[in-house]
Amino acid sequence: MIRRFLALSVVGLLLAGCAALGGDRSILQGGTSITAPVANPVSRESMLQIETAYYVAVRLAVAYRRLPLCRSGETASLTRLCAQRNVILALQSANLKARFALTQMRTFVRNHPTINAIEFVQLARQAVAEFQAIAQSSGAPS
Amino acid sequence: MNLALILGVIGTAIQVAKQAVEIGKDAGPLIAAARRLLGKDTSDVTQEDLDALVVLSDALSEELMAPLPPEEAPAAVV
Repeated sequence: MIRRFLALSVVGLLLAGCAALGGDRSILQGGTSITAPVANPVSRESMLQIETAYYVAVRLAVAYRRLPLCRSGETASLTRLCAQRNVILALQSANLKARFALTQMRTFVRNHPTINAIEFVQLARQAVAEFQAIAQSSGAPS
Repeated sequence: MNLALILGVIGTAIQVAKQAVEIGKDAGPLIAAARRLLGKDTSDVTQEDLDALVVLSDALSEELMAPLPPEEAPAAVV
């Protein structure tokens, strides 16, 4: 009985020591506490950057989509602006990938506010950049 | 910097709201999202502002992803 009490006391002291030594800082942030909360290193500014980049890209893509469709064999020119089917299909495909990555990023950040979401953010940033590149080269009226 | 001005939120909101009304959808959330972003500074963005931006992006994306109409016959050569 005394041994069990002593063992529990030692465990209690160790845990208290862990919490006290690192102050408020988690072991994930260079501290020693295993109980301290960790703020998500992905800031709202980086989320805003990605969301605005996506917004700009999808706006440009829609501007292109609103052009009259080119007939088969026809190419767009300065006198006849039209949207090529293959370009719209490429935009749609890139948009699907970007939306998938964005949804994953948003869901992860919302559900895990204290876990580093950097991988999801990088995937979303990359997918949005690819979509943006296609949208910018499409010749959409801005 | 003003977020709504940078992103041209008002013009976009009007266009997507018009599209929404044309296909019988409720344009209310789009207008509310645009209103939320009006006068918003980029240095003071909340989660709700990000959500409003997502509402507008989603509406645009929906328009982009609409299926293409069947292909027309080649232009006649005269």
